[in-house]
Amino acid sequence: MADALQHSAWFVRAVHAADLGILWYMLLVNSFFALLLVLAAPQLFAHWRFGSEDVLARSLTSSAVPRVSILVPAHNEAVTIVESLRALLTLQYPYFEVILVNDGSSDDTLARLIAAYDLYQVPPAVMRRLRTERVKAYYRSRTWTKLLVVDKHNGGKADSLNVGLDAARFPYVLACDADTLIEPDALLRLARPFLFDQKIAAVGGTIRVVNACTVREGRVVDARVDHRWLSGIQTVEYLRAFLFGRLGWNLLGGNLIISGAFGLFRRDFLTEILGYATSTVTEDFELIVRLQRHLREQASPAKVVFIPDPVAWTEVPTSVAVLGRQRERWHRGLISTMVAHRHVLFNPKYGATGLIAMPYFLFAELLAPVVEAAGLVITVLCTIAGVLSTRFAVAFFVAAYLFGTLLSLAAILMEEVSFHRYRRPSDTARLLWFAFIEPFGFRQLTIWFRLKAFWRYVQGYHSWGRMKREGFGATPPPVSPAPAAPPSR
Amino acid sequence: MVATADPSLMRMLTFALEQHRLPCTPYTSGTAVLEALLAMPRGGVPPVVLLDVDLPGVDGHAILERLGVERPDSALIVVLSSHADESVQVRSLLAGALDHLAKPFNVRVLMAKLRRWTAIARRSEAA
Amino acid sequence: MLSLDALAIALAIEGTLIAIALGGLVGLRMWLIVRARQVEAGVAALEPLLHRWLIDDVPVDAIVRALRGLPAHVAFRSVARLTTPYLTFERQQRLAPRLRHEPWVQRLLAGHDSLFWWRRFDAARLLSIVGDPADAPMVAALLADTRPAVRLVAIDAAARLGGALVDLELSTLPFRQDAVQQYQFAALARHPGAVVAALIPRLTPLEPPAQLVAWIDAAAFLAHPDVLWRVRDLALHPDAVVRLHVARALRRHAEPETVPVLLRLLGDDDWRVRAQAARALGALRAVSAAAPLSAAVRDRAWWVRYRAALALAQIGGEARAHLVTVAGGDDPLARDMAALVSGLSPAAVVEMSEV
Repeated sequence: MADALQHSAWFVRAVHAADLGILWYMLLVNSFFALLLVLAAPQLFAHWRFGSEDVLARSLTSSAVPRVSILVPAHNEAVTIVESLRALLTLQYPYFEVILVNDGSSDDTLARLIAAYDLYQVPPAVMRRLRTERVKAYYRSRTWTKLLVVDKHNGGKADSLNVGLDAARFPYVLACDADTLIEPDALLRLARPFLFDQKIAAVGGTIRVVNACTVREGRVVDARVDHRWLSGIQTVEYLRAFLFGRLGWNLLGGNLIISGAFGLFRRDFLTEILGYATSTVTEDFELIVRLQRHLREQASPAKVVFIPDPVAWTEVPTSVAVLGRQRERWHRGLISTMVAHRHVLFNPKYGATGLIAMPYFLFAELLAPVVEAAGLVITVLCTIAGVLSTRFAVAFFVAAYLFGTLLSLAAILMEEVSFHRYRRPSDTARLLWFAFIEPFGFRQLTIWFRLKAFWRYVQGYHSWGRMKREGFGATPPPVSPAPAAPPSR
Repeated sequence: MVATADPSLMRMLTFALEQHRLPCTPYTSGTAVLEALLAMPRGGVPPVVLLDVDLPGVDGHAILERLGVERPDSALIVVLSSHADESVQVRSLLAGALDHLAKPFNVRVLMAKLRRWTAIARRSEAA
Repeated sequence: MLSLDALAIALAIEGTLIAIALGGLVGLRMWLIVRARQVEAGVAALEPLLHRWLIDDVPVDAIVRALRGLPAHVAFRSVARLTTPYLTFERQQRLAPRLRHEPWVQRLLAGHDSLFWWRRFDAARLLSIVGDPADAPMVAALLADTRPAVRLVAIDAAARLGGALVDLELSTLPFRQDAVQQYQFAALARHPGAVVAALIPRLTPLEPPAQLVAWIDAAAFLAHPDVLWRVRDLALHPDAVVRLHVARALRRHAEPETVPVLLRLLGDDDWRVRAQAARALGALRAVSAAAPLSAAVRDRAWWVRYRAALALAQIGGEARAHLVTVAGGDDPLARDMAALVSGLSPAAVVEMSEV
């Protein structure tokens, strides 16, 4: 049979063409990524020059900073909530408040909060602009003037964020997860773009992996790279995704993703677009897409920017099962958001978002697992069957994997040069090692999970007619598609 | 007592205090200094505390509030902060601070003030 | 087959470029490490001298000599790192003239019109530490730089010099973003006399409202009685945004004549003006405003109710009794707001009304 295939000229040509097409696709996507790297480099350089502590600290004293309301949705976080909240309340920033929204927790989260922070109930004197699940009560703290706790019926993370949005009294809101560890000067760093004469709609910062780091009193005191392969490879992924995946987009019309684990937004824009959508599983990605649409439609000069500073730390899955659920959920959210906003695609009315960002997400993110899987299958099978020459196999290997590894190396080196959070040479060595072994197993795993997302999306569409909402008690604390942007490369 | 997380500032203050022969106990975290203040024996000379607002663990304002509730008038606290505006100063003073100094502050003047306050504290304890 | 060759060439070229970039990054990292070590050594050498100078143990010459012995970039960074957080303006004024004509300073300042923004940035930064009035033209050019980071640091440099630059800064003030404006206010506050003199002619109804509000905010930041008189006279301006900024500014003007003006603004058509007027009345502890404020707690707009209730709590005494009355009254929204504010601790009231 293999002989027959080999001699069927039509089949051989078809396979060659397909494989070549796939190879060019990979080259183009990687080249785009290399372009993002090139665009990121001067920004990192500018940051290094300007970001030294003395200028930063002085430039953001007292009244020069935007006033921020920090929104923290929490569900069944009894074990860590008191500690995490204390870390938030002691951030180094002159004007902020913390609004913790208890999303109908079934454990004793609220009881612990009432005890630890001396909470007392206050009347619901809040302006309601968004439609949300019913709020049970508002609480203030006798010992911490900055704290407001909202207790509500379960409605999911997006719904909780909308409740927080209504309760916020400052013009800027920071959406973050209850278990995200925030650097003490994170808010000061996030406020830096405001000093650059820019109208800002949203700011995102770099999220790092906290597995294996030493944490004391809610702060990371020693950054380490995990020796276990799963979290280790994800550390490299996050570096690559944030360091130039996001930074490069600042110069290409703005980001389409600000992580839900840590993002600063202008509240009036969010209220105009009616807050977060409760019908999607990746509410942070969907929000930004809708926000960018709104900004273009209003011809607003406000930008969605990204700063390279490390600002928050989050935990990544350490087991394959949990990782699978997370990646599958991200990709499913990506699909549903792209479908929901499909008229932005290739639409010149939406500027760079419609002509560059959305097409990139369609071709280089959404379809990536399909193309890669097809390429892998075709190349391997056909090389074994002798239909393709080994030159093709080598070319495929180089285009698909070696390039990605080179880009990971660039990300690691850039991190070393600009931030140098991992002080020990052993950590850098580990990062390099994980960058090399990523294509041998991890990549294929993510491809598989993302392909499953297609299947599940189609299933969900047909069987239920709408996306089933996932309460965030079902899966581990949701980390947004932050690094899904280019984790595949 | 000196509480600040900034090592350079700590060095400057310890150096200046040593030169003026004033006793100095350094603390680098909010929780440590709060514990020490709460564990102080009642009666005795109230210590003068140079408290930086930006401390890890518990920040300066929270320490003031706690002390105001649990051990009022047990220590003479001088707040150091990088924020100079009026509302922050008023807040500290209303919360029980003896004085609020914005960084950068004049070290010689601070040392003179400290000597005065230590003298007052000793005299009030003797009375 | 041809396409495969083209692909291979493309791959090879890109691969080489990326590899070169990687090599460059490694080299850059090495170079940065060397420079950082030098700066650390410089800082370590300078810091004890600086501490001793701050208590007048050594003359300022010792510092000047020590800096002269270091390489230019090390001297610059050490001085920047140590003087900015720890030196009062007065001390800086004592150090600056001694350093201004040092050869290393001259070399770095020569970069003020360089094509590379980072050289201009360093020049501006250095000028903010050692500049003298003769450098005004250089600073003026940097204030108008194309690069926002350079402009920002130039604001600090302008703050050192005062004089004609104050006028320039005030003219550009309305066109900056909020955060930059605030930064500029803080810098301008170093020369209150000059700023007041330059602000007074600008605070007239003849100026365009968009620029007027920026100057009103500057006046509020300075909180100088002479300018605040003029701000008060703008309370009847036809533009609501101007009135709103006037109301906000008057919270810093603790004169008896301010209260009637604010009471009039408390009855303004625009809810934003009413809210700020309530806030200002609270900040001024205007006891005579207790009754109008308790009427304002029943206002239709949420923010007005909020500010009015906080103001009553801030004024205290009899005003608090008004709050309690409203809390037991018949208007549900006012009742809720009054109950909320009554339950707040004094520290919370201060914080929520200030911010």
